Amino acid sequence: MKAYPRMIRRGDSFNPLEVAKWTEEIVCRDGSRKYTAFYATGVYGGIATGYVVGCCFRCFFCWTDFSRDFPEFYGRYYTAEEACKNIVDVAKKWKVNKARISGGEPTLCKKHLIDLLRLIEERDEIKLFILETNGLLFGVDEGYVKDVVKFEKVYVRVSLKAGEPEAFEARTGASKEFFELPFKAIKSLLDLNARFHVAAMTDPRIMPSEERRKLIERLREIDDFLAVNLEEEVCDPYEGTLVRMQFYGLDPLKFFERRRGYWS
Amino acid sequence: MELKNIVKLIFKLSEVEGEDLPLKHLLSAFNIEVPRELKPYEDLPPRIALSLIYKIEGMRNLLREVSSELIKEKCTIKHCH
Repeated sequence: MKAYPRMIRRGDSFNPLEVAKWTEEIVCRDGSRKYTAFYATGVYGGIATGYVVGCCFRCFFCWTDFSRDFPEFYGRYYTAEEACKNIVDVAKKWKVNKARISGGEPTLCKKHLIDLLRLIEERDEIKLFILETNGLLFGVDEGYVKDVVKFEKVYVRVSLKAGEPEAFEARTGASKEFFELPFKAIKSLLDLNARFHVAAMTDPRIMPSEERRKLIERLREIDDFLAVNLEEEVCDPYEGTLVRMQFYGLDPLKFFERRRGYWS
Repeated sequence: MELKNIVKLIFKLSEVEGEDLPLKHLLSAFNIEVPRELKPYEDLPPRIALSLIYKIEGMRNLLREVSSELIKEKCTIKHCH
């Protein structure tokens, strides 16, 4: 790979495992990881969130800020102890007992994540830790899944991006040969009796109905329950999404059916 | 309402509001009390509650049964054209 992939244009593709390693060189340092903020949000009925920097996918519909595309410019390094303290402080302040790290791919920087989960496990203030992942690194390393799901407070949400290899590559930039890895992660989670559910970007403006059907069928092959309990994601016009779409070659105004002003 | 129908209702509610509101608030909107079996999960959003309930040996078969009944609907609801 010649250059670090940032926003993708239609037709771009890369090896996401290489991008994961490259991203880790930027956002992980001696057990610390880059975060841009710690705050509470209303999702999951209220949850303390550590906003991490860095991902190994480049979805054109991604809602996160530009730290995904330019991790060198955003955030600062926090040790697992500092991140845990900040998350617990936010939880106490907003009187919530759930926590997560979001905004980037939490499974990057393995040592940091495992250390953080160990610390969270010891804190009475947090009852549930939701790990939102694209499933790539779990799919390539079942041992990693084992290391994570042994923590009793961990609950995993695997977010699928496509139901077909070509669509996977077109939407995420990750080469289609890696399409199966998130499904492998789901199988591992099921085999290990982990606490988890599956989400997917099935917004009909992004995923055609036939592909959605195939995705549901794939989940059914693993377990009917996972298919029925599938969380179906919708694309919203966040600032980062609008810019990424435009760069990708999609008109965000058309996509979100907004009327153009006279200046456009 | 029998447990099976409540579980079915929770699945359906998850399609509309699966991640944010706690299970007990959603069920109370239908004047339904959280059944004893689901009490430990009443403060969780319904989709997460269902996933955790699925891990309980005694509840798994019921959820499987309801899943197999609902799977046909999954492809006809919402935007499955």
